[in-house]
Amino acid sequence: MTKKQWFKQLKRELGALSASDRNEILQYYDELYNEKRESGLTEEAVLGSFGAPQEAARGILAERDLPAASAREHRSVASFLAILFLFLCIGIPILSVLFALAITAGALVVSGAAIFLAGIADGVWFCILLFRDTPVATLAHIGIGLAGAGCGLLMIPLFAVCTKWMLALCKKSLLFTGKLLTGKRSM
Amino acid sequence: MDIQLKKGLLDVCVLSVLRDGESYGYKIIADVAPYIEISESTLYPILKRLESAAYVTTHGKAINGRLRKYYKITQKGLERIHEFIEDVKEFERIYNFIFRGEQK
Repeated sequence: MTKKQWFKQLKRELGALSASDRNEILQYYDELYNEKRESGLTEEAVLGSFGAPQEAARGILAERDLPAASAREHRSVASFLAILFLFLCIGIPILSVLFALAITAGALVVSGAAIFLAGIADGVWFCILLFRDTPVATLAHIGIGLAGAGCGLLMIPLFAVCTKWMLALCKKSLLFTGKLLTGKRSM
Repeated sequence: MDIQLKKGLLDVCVLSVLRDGESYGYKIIADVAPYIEISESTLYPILKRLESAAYVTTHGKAINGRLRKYYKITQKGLERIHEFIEDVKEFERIYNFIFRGEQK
């Protein structure tokens, strides 16, 4: 376990305390950690002397009659079902909408590419026509083709970002629900 | 040793270390450890208890670019040590009484 992991775990174990109390304890351990390191102990040795973060938290919380996070009662069946119900009724619809939006944005990226290619093709085709005969309408067509290509090009990055964003949101909400269900996070 | 008894003893041990001058977490543990078992996680509640009972005051000092928290004994803390010594004298009489009973 690294120092960072140890402190992160301790912070979690002290979840029942107020933020200011928790920070004070983390500061206390941080100060001792630095003193011990300066006295020549390795990171591992210092953390070893502190013991497990669960143990450290237990001593402190016992003083205030608060249970440590790891010793807290496991999530009851009722609250598990409540969260599951919430997930099914709210989580899944939100996820589906997000996912649909992601697919739509993805499709728009593809159509952007298609418009771009079509625009280029249009431009090239009328360039060839321009050499055969030169009415103004042909010239206008080249303009339309290039404008189309430009629009298509603009759509690609715009909707690519949208797709990425929607997929990231999907992933986040799935992870959050997972944590809620396994009880690693409370509402 | 009885937990409650040890708790009371530890409080006074920390106070008597501070009687020699203000000190900080790491040094308090080092000074107390030869006499009674103490660890980082046992010291913290003691210091909090002593602070809330106004036996000690705290202040931060910057040492090597870090903040070190110092604990200083108050008049009330000194009185607590004295009170403890009086308690021990009384305890000694009771102890002798119990010990004699055992000898008979």
